[in-house]
Amino acid sequence: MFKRFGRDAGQSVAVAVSLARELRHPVVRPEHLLVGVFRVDGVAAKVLSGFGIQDSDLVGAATGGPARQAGLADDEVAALRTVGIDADDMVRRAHEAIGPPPAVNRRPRFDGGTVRVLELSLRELSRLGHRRLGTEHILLAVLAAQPRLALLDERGVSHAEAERRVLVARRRAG
Amino acid sequence: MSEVHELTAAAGAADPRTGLRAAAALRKLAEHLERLQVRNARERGWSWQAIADELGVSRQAVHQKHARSLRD
Repeated sequence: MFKRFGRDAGQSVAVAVSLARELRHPVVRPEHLLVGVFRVDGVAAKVLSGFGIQDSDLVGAATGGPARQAGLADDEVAALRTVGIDADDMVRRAHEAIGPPPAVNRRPRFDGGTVRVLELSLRELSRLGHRRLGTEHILLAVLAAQPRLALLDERGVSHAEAERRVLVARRRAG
Repeated sequence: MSEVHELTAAAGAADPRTGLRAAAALRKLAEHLERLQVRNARERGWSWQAIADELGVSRQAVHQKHARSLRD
């Protein structure tokens, strides 16, 4: 899958994995990928900045609540809430009482959403008729994937508008 | 919790998708808690046998499951 990935795109995936490790998340999510594409100096970073998005916004979205350190996704936390369990609270208490969560020893694995985004980025690449997969294709894939990330919705980052800005940025880059 | 939230929560709990997801998530939580407490116990000098006794499993099982990740 990574054969068509240009150096920037590959690097952003590495940054995403490294961030997951740093946050002690056993699972890499699209939110981590978004930090990755932002931190690598490419078209995606320019487009995201243009929407007023900052590193702290993206890291906040990637960090989430304590339950993420137990490997839980947001929909799992929500599901537990329906049976009266506050997963974030439980994990927070456990970490406060027992100690910090263990470091992620094994390489953090990609969740289904992340795999889907990476596959979609190849589709974006061919759909736009570009040859080398850059961070912008990963960004567009994140925007094309479901469920949409709340942060991006809040900032009015639509797929259509992001695509428009990506094409402009690419023309400018030459 | 407001009445609307209670009804929503109840509906969610009755829905198999949500309920099954909650069950799977509970397992993940239990695994995380177990990992934390096994490390906690080992740091306090507990033997694998003592930990196994508390968990209700064999010494081999707990050692196999946790020893490698605690090595460093």
